[in-house]
This record gives sequence, structure tokens and C-alpha cells, in this order.
Amino acid sequence: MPWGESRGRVRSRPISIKGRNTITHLVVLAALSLLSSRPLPSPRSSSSSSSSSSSSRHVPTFNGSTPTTRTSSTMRYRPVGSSYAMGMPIPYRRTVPPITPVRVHDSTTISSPPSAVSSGDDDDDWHCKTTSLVRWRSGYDDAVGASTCVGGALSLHPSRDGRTVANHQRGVFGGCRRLTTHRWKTTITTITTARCRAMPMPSTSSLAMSPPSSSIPEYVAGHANDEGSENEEDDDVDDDREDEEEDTIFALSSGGGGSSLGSGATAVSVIRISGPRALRALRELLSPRPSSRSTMTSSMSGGGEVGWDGTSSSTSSSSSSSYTPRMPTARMACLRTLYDPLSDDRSSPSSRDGTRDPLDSALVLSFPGPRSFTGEDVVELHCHGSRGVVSGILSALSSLRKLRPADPGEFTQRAYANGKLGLVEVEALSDLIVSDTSLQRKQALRQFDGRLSRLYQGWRTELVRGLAHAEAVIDFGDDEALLDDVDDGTSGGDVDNNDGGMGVWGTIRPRMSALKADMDRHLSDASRGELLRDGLRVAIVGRTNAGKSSLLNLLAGRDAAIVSSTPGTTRDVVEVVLDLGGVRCTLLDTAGLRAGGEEEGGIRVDDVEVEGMRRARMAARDAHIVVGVVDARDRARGLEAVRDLIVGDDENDNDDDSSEQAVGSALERDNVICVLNKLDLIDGNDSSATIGERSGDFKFGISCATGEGVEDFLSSLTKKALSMVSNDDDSSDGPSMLSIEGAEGAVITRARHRRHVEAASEALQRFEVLSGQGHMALDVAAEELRLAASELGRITGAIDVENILDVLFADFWSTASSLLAISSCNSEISAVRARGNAPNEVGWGGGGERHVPAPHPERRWAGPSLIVVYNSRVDNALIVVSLVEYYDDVRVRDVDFEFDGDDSSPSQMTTTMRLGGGDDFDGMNRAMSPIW
Amino acid sequence: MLTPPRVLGDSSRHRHRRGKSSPRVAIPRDASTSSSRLSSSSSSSSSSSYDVIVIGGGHAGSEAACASARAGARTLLITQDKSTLGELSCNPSIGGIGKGHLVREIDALDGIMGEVADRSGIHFRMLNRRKGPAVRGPRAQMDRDVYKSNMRRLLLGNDDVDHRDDDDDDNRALRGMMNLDIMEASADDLLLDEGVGIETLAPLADPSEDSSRRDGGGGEGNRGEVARLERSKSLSSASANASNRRARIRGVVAIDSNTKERIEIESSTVVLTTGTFLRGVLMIGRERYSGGRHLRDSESVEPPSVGLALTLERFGFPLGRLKTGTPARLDGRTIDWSACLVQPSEKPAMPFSHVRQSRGEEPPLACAGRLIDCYQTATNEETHRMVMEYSHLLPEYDGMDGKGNGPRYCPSIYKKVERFAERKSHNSFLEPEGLNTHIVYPNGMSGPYPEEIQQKIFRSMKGLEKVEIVRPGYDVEYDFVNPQVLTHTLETKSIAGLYLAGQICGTTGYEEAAAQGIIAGANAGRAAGAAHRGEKAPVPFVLGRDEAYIGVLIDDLVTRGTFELYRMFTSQAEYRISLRADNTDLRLTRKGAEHGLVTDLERLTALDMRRTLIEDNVERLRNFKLFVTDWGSRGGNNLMGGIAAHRPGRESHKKCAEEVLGMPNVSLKMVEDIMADVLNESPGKSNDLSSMMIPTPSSVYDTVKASMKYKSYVVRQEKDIESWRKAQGARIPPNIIYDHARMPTFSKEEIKKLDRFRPTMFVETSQISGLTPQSLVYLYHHVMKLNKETRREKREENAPV
Repeated sequence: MPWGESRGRVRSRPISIKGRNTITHLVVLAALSLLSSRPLPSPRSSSSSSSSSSSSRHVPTFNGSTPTTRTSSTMRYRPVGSSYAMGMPIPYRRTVPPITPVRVHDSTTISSPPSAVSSGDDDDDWHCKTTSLVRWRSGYDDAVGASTCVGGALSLHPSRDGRTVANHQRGVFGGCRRLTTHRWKTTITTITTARCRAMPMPSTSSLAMSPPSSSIPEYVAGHANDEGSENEEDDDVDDDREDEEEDTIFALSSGGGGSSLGSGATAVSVIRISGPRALRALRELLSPRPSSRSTMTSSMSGGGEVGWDGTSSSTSSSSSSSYTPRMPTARMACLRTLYDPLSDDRSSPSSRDGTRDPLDSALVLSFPGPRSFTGEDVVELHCHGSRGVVSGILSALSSLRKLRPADPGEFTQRAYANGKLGLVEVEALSDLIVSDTSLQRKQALRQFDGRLSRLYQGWRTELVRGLAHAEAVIDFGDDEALLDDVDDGTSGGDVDNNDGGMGVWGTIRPRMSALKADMDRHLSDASRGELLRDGLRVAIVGRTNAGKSSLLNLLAGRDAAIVSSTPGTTRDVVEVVLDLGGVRCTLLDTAGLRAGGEEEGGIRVDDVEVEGMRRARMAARDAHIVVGVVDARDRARGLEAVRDLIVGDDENDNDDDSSEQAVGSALERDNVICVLNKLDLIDGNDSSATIGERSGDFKFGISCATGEGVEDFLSSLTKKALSMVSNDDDSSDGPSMLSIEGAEGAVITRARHRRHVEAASEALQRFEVLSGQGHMALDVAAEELRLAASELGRITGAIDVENILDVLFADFWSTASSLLAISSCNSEISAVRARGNAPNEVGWGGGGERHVPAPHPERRWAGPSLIVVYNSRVDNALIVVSLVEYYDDVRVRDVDFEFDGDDSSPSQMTTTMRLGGGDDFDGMNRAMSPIW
Repeated sequence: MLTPPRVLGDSSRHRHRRGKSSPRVAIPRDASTSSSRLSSSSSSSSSSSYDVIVIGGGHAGSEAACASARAGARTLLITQDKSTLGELSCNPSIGGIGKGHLVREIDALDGIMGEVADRSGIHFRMLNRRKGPAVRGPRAQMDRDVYKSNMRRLLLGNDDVDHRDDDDDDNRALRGMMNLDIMEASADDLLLDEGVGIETLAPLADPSEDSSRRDGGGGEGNRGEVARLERSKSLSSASANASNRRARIRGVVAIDSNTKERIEIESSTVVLTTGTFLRGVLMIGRERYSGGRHLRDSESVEPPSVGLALTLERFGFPLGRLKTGTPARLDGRTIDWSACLVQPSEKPAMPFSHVRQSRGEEPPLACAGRLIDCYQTATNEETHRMVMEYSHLLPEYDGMDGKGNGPRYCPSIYKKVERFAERKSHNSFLEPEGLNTHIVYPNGMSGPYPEEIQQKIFRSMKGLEKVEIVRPGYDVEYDFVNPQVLTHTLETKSIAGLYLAGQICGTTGYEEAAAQGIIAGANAGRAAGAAHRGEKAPVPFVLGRDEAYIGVLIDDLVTRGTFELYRMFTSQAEYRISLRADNTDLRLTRKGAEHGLVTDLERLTALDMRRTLIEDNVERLRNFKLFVTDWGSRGGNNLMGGIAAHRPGRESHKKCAEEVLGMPNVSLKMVEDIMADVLNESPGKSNDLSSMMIPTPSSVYDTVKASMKYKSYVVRQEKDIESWRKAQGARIPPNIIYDHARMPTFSKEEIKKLDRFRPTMFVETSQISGLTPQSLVYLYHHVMKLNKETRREKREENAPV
């Protein structure tokens, strides 16, 4: 039973997290559950491994033949082997190197090679931790088939639409059927490493975690010798040669499909392969039978492992059976059958005529570099989207030489490195991938198609042209008479009276002024683009029991917040994300306000509620739109409460007069909408009276109970939101995309861009002054142009080397905005979404519904940050690592945290959330170390 | 792909070559009839070798030789003919925009070019005077003969110079240069220790190539191919990586100009300044003849240097062809001057030399106040028509598919007409070549047409209707070395002790050549001198981009290389605002002194004096305060008050003179006038008056003015400079591991290169060819993270658990 072996060896248990509000789940987690919980079966005792796997757990397998209907109630795996203390991540720094290759000794044990363990004190302990988070870069096999299959790489990606929790499962669980003897193939890194590798740049942790390659060969050699691979030397030579080339990477690039995390199959999934071996990999998949030298996995009887190198094999071992499949024409879709190279040694050649199992009938596309997304050879396989097909293909790919699962963002990274995408486009792409709403999508697309880049580059070109003109006047004006008539005849022919080309400003100045005007116009739209990109925050505030939570639930269309008649039910900020007319809005339900002495319904205000009110104030202050909910039965006190919440403490402390004014005007603020709720409860509630009549001064009157008036309110709110992201102040007709686009069809979407454009505009301002001066000015005026051009260059990355250094610090890291959340444990796990911008605030909402204040409120962040959530209730750590896209004062916001487990009551959670600055990996380490 | 240079296992050919040469001659006895100095010292066997040998006596060579000698190294300058020392082969002028900065900087380092130019100038102008102090370029026209004799006198001492005139009591000029010998010979080859005691990298060449090399080793015919093979193995690499060198200079093989004897002279360092002589070919029309340069205005040419070119080729130096040209020389007596525009010299003229500035001396010295005028004429449509009509008679070059790789910024008249087809006229300056000659240099009119065509073309121009050509213009095409094979000290990366400077590195212009010369000479001299004295190797003398135009020039050359003639422009200096011609001494002299390059006490005193004066003046301006309203009423509200003066609540606000001077249209003179007025009005403070109103020498005045005006820019640039320095100077930990797992964003090739060169600093990394800027940044991050990691580890180790 060929697949049985596979099942026995390979277990993976992706974990899906169902979001309570699906939109907020951007990121996905997955777990190597099997790895962490199961003994590893021996190849030689596949039956025993089968039995060990015959527990009640549902385990997805590669061929998908075992259904993996994961119930949301069980996520817990009990460790089987005593040595598997699951889920504990490896400390970054301990006495042992954090990462070592792991050798599979037998079916149940994974241990690290002795050479890599510097301290024996807690070897066992350590090993298990390793295995719990083990990541294989690939895995295939050596000659002997010391086959153990462990795990697979697991790297996660946000889904395309940002909705699904678990998405890409790039690594192949159980994809490796055997352990490889090759260095690069035995690389095992932890999940955290996977995360780090997701970032576009090498990070501390990946450094710390990857073993020096020199520590591996001993093991490798030993292993190889064990197996007596006679081809070892050949392989080495081959490897050396191939070290020249980049890895070829592959990944499931479509959402859904093989994610296997709850969402089930889709019709089509796209698997993308990029790198120098992409075409060879395709050829291998298209081959219905193994070619003589093309077996990636040497058969046990085959006398050793042979490198997969298809037709270009150096040695001419001319087995006649080689078969070269017909390759599809470049950039043409062809329907082909894919065959599973892994089936080569599952099936005895004699019995099966050496033919391979078919994997799928797929649409195959090849894009030879450089005309491809990444600039390398790219192959796309449009296969059926079932888990079985996708995982089968992925495991087949991971068995090929020099192929490994892509790290998150790696395709984009390669595209950038190969000059296929500019900095701005990379940013746009990340925006596009995480876009929640149609407007966000459109904005990202406009940026992605290079419009924004072209705009900036156009400006820069204009500036450089002006600068060049100025420089020409400086460097040639007086000297070699090359440009002796540049000065438009103003010199009157008298050489000595030559104004040295000062007249040149005559043509440059108006152009620069026009340019500055363009920039200023662009800047005036700037915040809108950023708002659209980041989404609006809408705070619902009011007195206790005004019906805020009801309104939230109504708008959200589900019971996001607990509603009861007990005052003070909502104590924390509950967030729900809505798509309002294409604008991403985060609705914040806040604790209601009531005086400390008030006692309603027998519930006194306790400390928790006081804290809740404080947070309500904060939420109101930071919100872009405040919705004040007023109980129709108590309008005065309701309004007062709303005012109170909006105005905030600082202003309240001011002297009374101005405070009065402030309070009075507070409700008139543009971004405040007061809503009269509980219309159904007021007197004179007869159906004849219009809502307007009943709500009196209020613009909106609603009843959450009956739904009356909510429609109107929602459409008004939508208009309000749209007007904030459009540059069309008159929102009466509802802003169209046209008005959002701005004059050039491109708006500034990032604070980073705005900063540079502002600086450029300021430089041009000074240039105008200077260029009007005449004496002493040409050199400094040129200097200002130079500055302006370099500021613009920083946006697109077209700048000199020395500038690049600091740009990259601030900017480039953030382009990897993918959020990754990875976790592994035997129980509750989670999704984390970390993104956004509420300054100085870290929220985590959702199931936990609690806030964790940022430990360093003053700190400026840049670059990706890390959030660690630790659940101390159970033995296993829950680690959520996320890359937080970050600029400036943006903080982590809107962290959703939900538990899939049935018994994880949020109140029992102990949480630790730490945040580290992106450019400061100490932060990350700090954040992690307490847990480990 | 970059592979390390191979060790030439086959040095037999070289030995063979040496064997062919004449028995080693300790010192050229009577090498030059006129070289009494050399002959006198030749009796001593100790001088059979030198610390430094400079090959070539042009601008780069003389500057290098002097710098080396000043640095304390026993230096030999080899030139084909002493009479050509200090020859201005093309236009008779020194300085210009950007170039004037270089001359000032050379002077600030105690070089000779500025000094000689001050002595020999006959027409001075400050270019770009009205475009801001940062871009002003002093320029002076020379009397060719006087320049040459002054140069020779400076190098050789008065004994050797028959042309004695006027001044002066400058001791240096009388005794010639200490430590410097000059010999008339032509260098034919370099003596090298190949692969001996020189750390080399393991050869990575594949065996097949090796064998082909061995096969071809003996035959000269194969040399080209071998060289090509080696060139393809690119020498561009990390800087000063000693392990990368595969040979060391041992001396020079020279052929005595007089005896034609082949001699070997030992030396640990050689500065090669061959100018246009490296396989030079001269061209007029379709006529080609080999030579490096015409002897002044004669028919005879100086022979090219071929042996050296072959040697460089053998070592895989990437050679290319460049061409440059010089216009015809006209007979001034046949020019109708009245038809031309006069361009008089500036008076008072500003000297190049800082010492002269501080002495308050004013050039010209050569002509005792007799400044000459230049004249301006222009081409016309008829000229352009002929230029195009006869273009088929122009030479065919080796470079650029026969078009020749010429100077873009000093184009021939044909190029100008071709490129600016819409223009009806181009200016040409007629520059008299000296006080005692009728020869005139028509600036901007180079074009190697056949002689009669040249005459036709000239005669179409206004004022030149009857002009006679004294010597037709010609082009020269020659070999240059891609300067990426050099380090920032201008030492080659593949041969230890070999320095290149001047046009051989692909530059154009006397000033650029001299600027390289002084750096190469200083480094060669310091290194060889120290080695000779048994001291440890000195710190290299390198100027940064933020310190000097010289730094910009050399950095551009060695990091980016050049594929056309490189000419200095102010726009190449990113810190232009700080690198002004008026403050070169403040920037460089002290540093030069610290490196033993500036030994002239007078110069150092002048520097201190000027610095003090500048500081005093700045202090004075800073301390002088007036109400904003007073500034406004005295200096004009538009200028000095602006709107601020009338803003309510601002009346009592005081501003110091420095702040007022920072306003766009305010000049130092205006401010000083107001200051004087105010002080005069308050007689009670008359005793302060004297201290407040120190008369400011003009040289100080300019610097004060510029530094105040540019303060905000300079501050900003200093910040930039600081961050640049930091990034460049950041160290890369030696134990860094380059592999793909750690650096996924690097290509295999990049990792390989990094691993091989193992740069220790970022400034070196940036010189590794083929490393993209992105990768640099990645690496930077990587290293910063590593450092943090290490620090953290240390902290943890130290912290009690």
C-alpha cells in the first residue's frame, strides 16, 4: 500500500481558526500538529506507525484520502512519546544551538546530531521542542530510505482576500518521505525561522537559528556512509556545482484550495514555481515514468541517490528508458497530466512498469525568465483545488532537488531583486494582497500598476532635468563656452557682462513652481489615501445601556458583543470590521459612561468598569468618526455623556468657560454623529409619526430593537466614511471612485511617501526664494533641487547607494507586510491579526477581549514588530509571531484573538503581549525570552 | 563572474625577458648630460635603488615625484626628455570650474601645480564668480615657456634651468626638490616578483584554461589571447586586499635616452604616469603615426610607450582606447584682433597658492604685471558647413567602432557641430600662448582634419581670414587602464607597489592628472619610505568624497571606473557646498601635515593665521546685535527686516549680524557697513571700535562670507557626511558567515564574492563589482543585526543568571 506508508509517516494537522468576524482574520495559523504530537513511524515498521496513528484524531494526509474534517472543538493533541513535549518553541539562546539538523534515528525519535549539541543537559527536552516546531526545507531522500517523515515546512501567508484564517500551507506536511543526506536538504529550522525568513532580509533569528553549515556535514557524512551510498561523491560534485544557483521555490499561490484549514477544497488552485529549476521540475512532473537519471528519490535498490538533474546530467548513464516529456510552449496554457515522482519507489517498478501515479490533470503554464513575475523561470500549475491534489503536488515538488517551499513574500522579493517591481509596487502588492474592501483594492491596484511610481518618477525626472540645467550653467556657463548662449542673449554679447547664464532660471523657475504646485495638491489628498488604506475607526460611545452594543451587533450582522439590560455589560472595546461602501471601517463598541456613584440594576461601578470608561474615552479620541448613541428616553444625560467622552480629560481640566464652549462645539464636530436609539420605547410611538418627528433635534433616530431607521443611519455613516477618504467634500451624491482618485489618479497611500513629498516640496519652496535672488544663489538653489530630487528618489528607491542605506532601514522592511502568524501547540490556537495604527495602543480583542497596553508607549516603531501571546493556562506555549507592518506612529491595532477550543474561556487566559520595534530585534528577543 | 586572479605559474617568460636585457646597471652613469645631480650621486652605490620611481614627467608625474620626495622617500623621476618636463601639451591654462578646486587642493597639500601656475600666469579669471562661492573656479592662462621653466626649476633646481628670470628668494626653487633625482630614459618594463612571498588566493581557473595558458606561455603571439583570458577574470575586487596581489614591484627596466642602454633600477614602488604615451597613436586626417605627443610645435614626435602596455596587458589590466585632441596653433601676427571681442584678465588676480594669498601677493609674477588679453571669436555657418563637408577626412580611430572615445566635455569642433546641429555658431577663445611668442591657442577648435582643411576652416572665422597655422591640430589615441583595478591610494590591486596616475586612468586635464599624482606619489612615498627606514606601514593617505574634490575624483574613478575621459565637475561633488575653492587649506593642509605631506612651515603658519582671522570675524559677526527694526531701517526692510520686523511683538527682538547675513540677499559688505555706522554713532564705544573692525583680508573675507551664507547647508551636509562616513566605516565582523541560508536575498555569486574578499569595512564592500546596492543594504542590516546579537550575547554572559 504505497500511500499507507506515507500516511504513516506524515502527519500534519493544520489548524484553522474561525474568526468571529471573518474580515478581521487576515492571517493564518497552522500547526504542525502531528509533528508535535506524534511519534514518527519507522519506515521499516509502517504497520506500527499506522497503528500509532490510528488514534481518534483525524489527520490529513497527503493524498487526501483521509478526510480531515476538523471539528472546531478539538485541537488538542496529546503527546504520544514522552519526549514530545509539544509546542514548546526553542529558545533563541540556550546552551545548545537553537537549530540543528535533526536526524531521524528510527521511527519514533528525532534527535539532533551529537555534534550540534553543545550541552547535554537537556538534550531530550530540547529535541522534542525541536520536533514540535520542526521545519523541513525539503526532504527527500537518501539511498537507504531511512525514511522518516517528519513534517514539512510550514509557512503561512495571508490569503488573497484576507478572510481565511489558514491559507497557504506552503510547506508540505509530510512531504518528505525520507531524510536526505544533503546538507541543504536536512536543514531544519523552526517555525520561527520560517517566519523570519519570510522577511525580505535576513534577520537575527534566522541567523541565530540556522546552524553553521559546517556543523552538519559530519552528520551528513555519517549518515551517508551508513547507507553506503556509492554515489556520494558524485552528489557532492553535483551539489557544488549547483550551489551556484538559487534555490527554486514553489508555493500554493492561490487562496483556499489546499489550505485544508477548514475552508475545504476549491475548484482550482494555482501552484507557482520559480527559479532556475522550475522548468526541470515541470518536466519531471510531466514525465509519466522516471527517466534514468531523473529519479529524485533513488530507489532503495537503485544503488544510491542520484541527483535529479534530468536531461542535463553530466554522466552519460544511458539507461534507455529515459523519457522526455513534451514541454508546453512558453506562456501558453496546456492541459497536461502531472505524474507523481514520489510514486517511483512506492511502486515496484516491475509490477508497475515503472509508470508513475498520476497526480492531476492540470493546466500548465511556463514563463521562461526574464519575462515572468519574478524574472526567473516561472511555472504555474493550475490544478484542481482539492487538498489531495494540492498536497500531492506540493509534496512531489518538495521531493525534487533544489526545490523548496517558498517563504512568505519570497516571490515578490525575487521580483523586486530582479527589478521586476519597484519599491512602490511592492508596497502596493502587499496592500493589494491584504485589501479588505473594493476601494482598498482599487487603490492598491492603481498603485500597483505603477501609476504612483510613474507620478513620482515623473516629478523626479522633471527635477533632475531642472537640476541638470542648473548644473550645466554652473559647470559650463563660464568656461568652455559650450552653453554660451544658454543665457538667452541677456548678456548682450559682452563677455565680461555675461551673467553666466543666470537667465537660465527664467525657464526653470516656472517649471519648478508648477511642480511644487502639483506636489502640494497631491499632499492635500494625502491623508485620504492613507485613511483608505488603513481603514477608518468608528467609535460607538454613549451612556451605559444606550444600546451601543446592540447597534454594533446590528451593524455587524452578528452577535459580536454581549448585549444585556445590565448596565456596564461592555467593559472593554469590542471591535468589528465592516466594509462600508468600500471603505474599511473598524467599529469599536465601548463601555458606556456612568457616574461612579450611579447604581443601576444593582450593579455598582467597579474598577474594571472605570478602566473600561477610560478606554472608551481613548477610543473616542482616536476614532475618525464618533457615533454617539443616546437613549431616547434620557436625551439630556445621554448627550452629556457623549460630550464627556468626546472632549476627553485634558479638555475637561481646562477652565470652565472654554470647556463649556468646547463641550458645546464638540457635538458639532464634523466627525461626530449622534444617534437617538430606542425610538421604539419612547412615548407617542405610533407608527404615524416619522422617525424625524420622533427624534427631534437628532438627525438620526433608530431603534435597534426594531431595526427602524438603521438603514438611513447606515447609509449616512457610509457617506461620511466615503467623504473622509475622497477628496470630494461634497458627499451628497456619494463620492465616486473618480473623486477618490485625485487629479493624477494616484493618491499618497503611505506616510512614508508623504514625508518625502513634503520634504521635496519644502526644498522647492526654498528654491523659489533662492532662485529669485541672483547673487550667491545658484549653487545653493541647485542644492535644493538636488535635495528635492533625492527625496523623491527615496520613495521609489531610485537613489544612490549611500541613501539607500537609510531608506532601507525605515522603509523596505515594511514592505513585507504580510502578516504571519504561526503557532503550534496541542491545543488552542489562534489567529492574530496585527495591523493598523492606533497610536500607543495595543489592542487585542475578539475572544479575549482584553487590552494589553503597549509596554513602551513612547517608543517609535519602525519595521516589523512582533507580538507574542502566551497562554499560560495550558502547558504549551502559544506563539504567535507576526510581522506587523509598520510605519511611524502606527501601532498594533485590532488584534483578534480567538480560540477554537471549546473549553478555552478567555477569562482564564493569561496573556502576555510584547511588542518589539522592528529595527530592534532585541525587542523581539526580549519579547520571546520570558516565555521560553 | 568574478574569479580571483590566477597566480601566474609561468613566470619563466618574464625571467626570460629579463635575461634578454642587458646586465643590470646599478645606476645610469651619466644618464643625462644635464643631470649633474644624478651623476654626482651615482657614485654612491646606495643610490642604485630608489624608494619610489615615477615614470613620466607630465603633470601627474611631477606632482607624484614631488609628493613622494616630500614624504621622505628617495625618488627617481624617469622622463624621456628633461626638456619636456612641465610641458602643457594642449591648452596653456590651468584651473577652471571644478579644476580650479583641484589646483587649490593640490596647493593646500603643498603640491607644486598652483605654485608654478602663479609664477607663470599671464591672464587670470575667477570663473562663476557670480554663481556662488561653492562653484567658483579660479583659472589662469600660462606662458608656456615660463610654466615649463618654472616647473623644471622647481624639480631640478636652478642649476639645470638656463632660463633664469626675475625673482625670487624661494629656496625651494633654487635647490630643486630634496630627495628627488631625475633621469632621462624611457621605461620599458617593470621588474616584478611574481607570486613570491605574495599571498595569493587559490587559483580557481579550470584546468583546461590552465593548459592553454601553458601551451601559449612561450609564444609571444599568444600573449594577446592570454591577456584577454586574464582580463576576463576581472581584477576588480575589494580594495587593498593584499592577498589578492600576485606580484610585487621590484624595479623598472629603462632604456637610457642618451646611451640607449638597457638598465634596471631597483625600487619597491613605481608610479606609472604615462599620459597619452601608452601605445599612443597620433593622427592628422587619415594619417596615423605612432607617438605620444608632438614635441611642442614641431614635426617631431615623442615615441610611445609600448613595452609597458604589453606588461600591463600581460597582467590582465583591463585596457581600453581613448582619444583626445589638440587644436592647431595659430600665428598671432596673422590674426585681425580688432575683429574679435576682448576678454581682459581680472585685476587683482587671485593666486592659486594659499601661501601667496596669505603673503598678500598677487600674481602674475611671470610678467610683472603685464597681463595679456584674450580674444573671442566664433564659428559661423560657413565654418560648420566645412566641418561637416570634410568630416570624411577625419581619422578612423580604434575605439568606439572607429569613432574614437573622445572627451565629451571638450569635444572637437566636428562633434560640436554634429551634436548641436541647431546652433549657428560656437565661441572660440583665442588665447596667446605667452609673452614672447606669437603663437595663439584657439580654444574649442580641435579637429584633426588634414592641415589644409584645418586652415580653411579657421579662415572662415571672423578675424582669422588670413590666419596661418603654425602647427596643425592632431588627435592622439592611447591605452588607458580601467581605474577600477586601483585602490583609493591608486595602487593597483594586482601588483603590489605599482601605482597609476593621470591620463592612464582615463582622465582628461592637467589638474585631474596632478590631483591623482599627488595622491599616488604621497602614498608610494610614504609606504616605500617607511619600508626603507624599516618602519611599519603607514596609514594610507586617502581623501574622502566629503573632504576634497580630489577625493571625489579618485573615488569616482576607482569605484565606478570610467569608460570615457573623466573630467572634474562641481556637480560630481555631492558635498559641493562644503568643498569650496576658498577653504581648501582649512580642509586639507592640516591633514596633509599629519601625513607628512605638508612640510612647509610658512604654509602651516598661514593656515593658522587665516583660521584665526576667520574665527575672529565670525565671532565678531555673531556678537554684533541689533534690534530687527534697526536692521530693517538701516539695511532696508526688504533686505534685512522682512515682514518679521513689523510683526507685532517682534520689535524688541534682536538679531546678530550672522543671522542677518543668512538672509538671501544680504551681503557681508552691507552688514559690515551697518556695523561700522553703528559703532561710529556710539563714540562711547570707540575703544571697541578697533577691536570690532579688524580689516579683513580678502581671502578671509570670502571664506567668512561663504561660511555664514552657507551655514544651514553646511550643517545639513555635515549630517549627510556623518551618516555616510558611518555607513562606509562600519566594520564587518571578521567571523561573518556568508551563506545562502543566512542571506537568502543574496545571489550565489554575491555570496561567493563576499566570501572570497571578506571585506572588513563597508567602504570596501561597495567596491566589489557586481554587488547590487540592494545587497549592500541587506548586508548592512545583516551586520547591524549581528552586532546587536553579539552585544546582547555579551550582556547575557556578563549578567548573573
